[in-house]
Amino acid sequence: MIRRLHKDESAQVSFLALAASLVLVGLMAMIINTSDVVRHRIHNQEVADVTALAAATWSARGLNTIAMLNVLNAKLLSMTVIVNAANRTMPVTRKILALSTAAATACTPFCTPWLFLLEGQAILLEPLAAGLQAMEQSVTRNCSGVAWKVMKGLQKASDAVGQTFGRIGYLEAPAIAARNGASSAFAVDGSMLEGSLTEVGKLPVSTTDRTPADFCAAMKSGGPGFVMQGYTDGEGPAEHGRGIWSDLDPISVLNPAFATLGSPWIFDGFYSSEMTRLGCDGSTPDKEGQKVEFSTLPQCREHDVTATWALYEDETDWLVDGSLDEYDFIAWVPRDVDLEGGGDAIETAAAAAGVDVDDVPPVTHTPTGVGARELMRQQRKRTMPASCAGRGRTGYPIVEHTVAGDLFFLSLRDHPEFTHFEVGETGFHEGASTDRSEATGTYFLRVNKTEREVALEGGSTRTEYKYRLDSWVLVDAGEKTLEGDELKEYYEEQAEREGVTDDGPVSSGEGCGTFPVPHLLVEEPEDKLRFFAVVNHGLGESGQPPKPFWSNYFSVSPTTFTSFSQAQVYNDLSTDMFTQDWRVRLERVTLLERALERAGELGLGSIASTASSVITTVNNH
Amino acid sequence: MLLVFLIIPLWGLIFTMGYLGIRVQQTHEALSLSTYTFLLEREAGTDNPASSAQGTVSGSVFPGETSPLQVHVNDTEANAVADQMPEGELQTLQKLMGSVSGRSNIAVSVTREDPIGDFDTNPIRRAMVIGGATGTYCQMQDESLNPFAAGDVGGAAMALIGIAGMGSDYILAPFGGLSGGEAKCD
Repeated sequence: MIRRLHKDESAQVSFLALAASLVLVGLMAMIINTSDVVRHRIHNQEVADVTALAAATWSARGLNTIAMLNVLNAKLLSMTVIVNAANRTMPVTRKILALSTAAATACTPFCTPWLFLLEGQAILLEPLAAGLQAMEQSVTRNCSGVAWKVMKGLQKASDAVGQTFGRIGYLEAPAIAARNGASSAFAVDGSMLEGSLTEVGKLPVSTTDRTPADFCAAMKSGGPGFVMQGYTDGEGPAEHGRGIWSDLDPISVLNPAFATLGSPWIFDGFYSSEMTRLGCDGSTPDKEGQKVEFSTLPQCREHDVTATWALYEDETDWLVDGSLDEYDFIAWVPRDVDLEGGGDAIETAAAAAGVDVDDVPPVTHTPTGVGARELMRQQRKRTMPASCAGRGRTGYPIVEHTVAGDLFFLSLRDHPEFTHFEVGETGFHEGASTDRSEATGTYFLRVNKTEREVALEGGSTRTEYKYRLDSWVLVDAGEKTLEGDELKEYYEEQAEREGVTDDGPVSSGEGCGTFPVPHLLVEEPEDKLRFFAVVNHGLGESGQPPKPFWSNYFSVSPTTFTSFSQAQVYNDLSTDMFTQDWRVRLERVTLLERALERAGELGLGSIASTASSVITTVNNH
Repeated sequence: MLLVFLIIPLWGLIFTMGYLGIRVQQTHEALSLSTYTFLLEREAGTDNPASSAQGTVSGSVFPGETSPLQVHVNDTEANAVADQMPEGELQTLQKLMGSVSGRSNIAVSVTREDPIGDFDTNPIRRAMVIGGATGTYCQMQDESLNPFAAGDVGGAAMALIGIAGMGSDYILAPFGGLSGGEAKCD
C-alpha cells in the first residue's frame, strides 16, 4: 500500500501549486501591508510639514497684521502732518489774499479782472480753511483728535496680536495634526529649542526703545510695502500728500502773483515743522542717509563736525547811567537776578518792555530791559567755524584777548571778559548753568563801557556812558549725513532726551499725551521665526489604522512613526514691519541639527548618531 | 494549464498592484506638492490658488496625461481654533481671532486606469487639513481669500478694521493716504 502510494504521482502538482500559492499569497499580503506602512509613513511626514507650517502661519499672520496696523498708523500720522500743515498755511494765505485784493482794488478799474479772480479765490479759500480747521480740531489735533485715539487703539491691537498670535499657533499646530490623523504632535519655535522660555509664544516684535521717529522713514520714503499698495517707489504717504498739496496749490493756480509769493514753500515750511515735531527731519528724503543738524556741542564733538559761532555787535547811545552790566542787556531774566529790585508786577514790567502781557509766561521771571531797550545798532559782524574734530577741539571759537597791550588768543569758554548765558526752555536768558549751556542759542556777552564828560548849561558837567556789546552766539552745532547705526544711535539719544519711557510711547513734549510708535522686529529674530514640528503616528492605536499582521514577529516594530519638519516665516521684500508680505515655507531641519550637535557636545553621541540618519532622511524629503 | 491559471493571473495581479502602488505614491506626491503650491499661490494673492496649484502639479507629477488631477479646497473650518483658547482675558481676542484662524481642507483626486480594465476606475483620493492664510497684502486684496472677511461677529470686527483701512485711504486722498496707483500684486 505504501509502496503503491510512493509510485502514484498523480496530484503532485496540485500540492506544489497549493503550497506555492500559500507562500505567494502570504508574500502578497506582506507586500500590501508593507505598502500600507510606507504610505502611512509618507502621510506622517506630510502631516509634520503642515503642522510646522500651521504654527509658522500664525506668526506670519501676526506679523502681517502688525505690519498692516503700522502702515495704517503711518498713514494716519501722515494725515495729521498734512492737515495740520495745511491748516497752519491758511491764515498766511488769507493775509496774502487780502493784500492782493487790496492791491487789485486800488488799481481798479485796470485790475478788475484780477479782482474778480481774487474774489473767486476767496470763495474757494474760506470753505477750504473752515474744513481744514474743523478737521484739525476734531481729527488731527495732536493727542486729542480722533486720529490720535485711533492710532493708540491700533497700537494696542498690535500689542495684543504680538502677545497672542504665536500662542494660538502652538495650539493650532497639534490641532491640525490631529485632524490629519496624527496620534500626537507639537510645534515649537527655535528659541525654545535654544532654551529661551521667557518670550514663549510672543512674536519677535517690540516697541521698546522705539520713538515716533521710527515712523519717519515709512512716512517719507515709503518702502516695498507701500510700493505694493501702489505708492511710487521712494515716496511714503506723507511725501505723497505733500506732493499733492504742492500740486494743488489752490491759490497760486488761479493767481500767478501769489505763486510768485511762494505758496508752495509756505506749506512746505509748515510741513517740515510738523515733521520735525515728530522727530523727523523735515527735509526731503535722502536715500543715502539722513542729514542731521546737531543742536549741542557734545553732539558736535561726538560726530567730529564743525560748529558755527556768530559775533554780534551792538551799542547804546550816550547814557547817564553808568552802573549797567551784562545782565541789564538781556531782555528776559529770572526773577532772582532781577536788577530792577524785584518789586515790579509782571504786567508792569511787561508793559515797560513793550510786550503783550498774554505772551508773558508764568511769573517766576520778570523782564528787565534797562539796557536792552537802549541797544540801537545791532549787526552781525562775522561768523567763525569752530571744529569739534580732534583732540582738544571743543567747538568753542578762539578769540582775541588783550592784556597790558599784549595780544593773546583764548578759547571763548576760558575768556575772562565774557559772561556765559543760555536761553532756557521757556525762552528766558539765564547764567549758563544747565545742560543747555552748550546748546544752540547759548551766548557769551562782553560789555565795553566808555565815558565822556559833557558840559551842561551853567558851566557844570556830567559824565555820560556808552556801552558796546560783543556777543558770541552758537548758531549751529554742525551737521552731518548719518546712516545705519550712527543714525539709529542719534535717534535713540534724541528719544532719551525727549523722555521716552520703557513702555514705548514718547512724551509729546507738549503735555498732551503720547505719540504712537511702531512695533518693529527685534534684533536677530531668526530663531523666533523658525518652527519645528514633531508628529507621531502609531498604527493599531485608538482611532488609527490597524498594525500589519506580521509586525508582531519582528523585534523592531515599524508601526510607530515620528516625523520632523521645520518651517520658516520669511519676508523676501523687506523686514521693516511696514511690508505686509510675511510668508511661510519649509526648510532644512537646522534646529534639530543644532540640537543634536549640542547633544554630541554633552556626551550624548549615541543619540546624535542615531538621529543623524533621521535628519538626512527628513532633509532629503 | 499552470501558465494559464496561475502564472499569468499572478503576474497580472502583481503588475496591477505595482501600478496601483505607483499611482498611490503619485497621489501622495501630488497631495504634498498641491498643498505647498496652494499655500504659495494663496500668499501671492492668486485669484484661484487651487486651480493654479492643480495646473502646476499636474504638469510635474503627471506629465503627458490629460487632466489626471483634481484639487478641491474647502474653507469651512474657520472657528475651530477659538474653541481651544483658554478662558480669561484673551476671550475677546479669542472670539475676534477665531474667525480668522481659518483652516482649509485640500483634497486631491487622481484618476487611475487599471492596465487590465477589469475593475472600476474610481479615482484615488487623499486629503489634508492645513492651517489658515498668512494674510499678505496681496492675498487680502482678493475678498475670497481675505481672512478678515469672515461672516460672524469677530470677522465683522476685523472686516471693519480692514474697511477702516481702505476707507481711510479715500478719506485721506489729499492727505497722503491714497497711493494714487494700482496695487502691485502681480
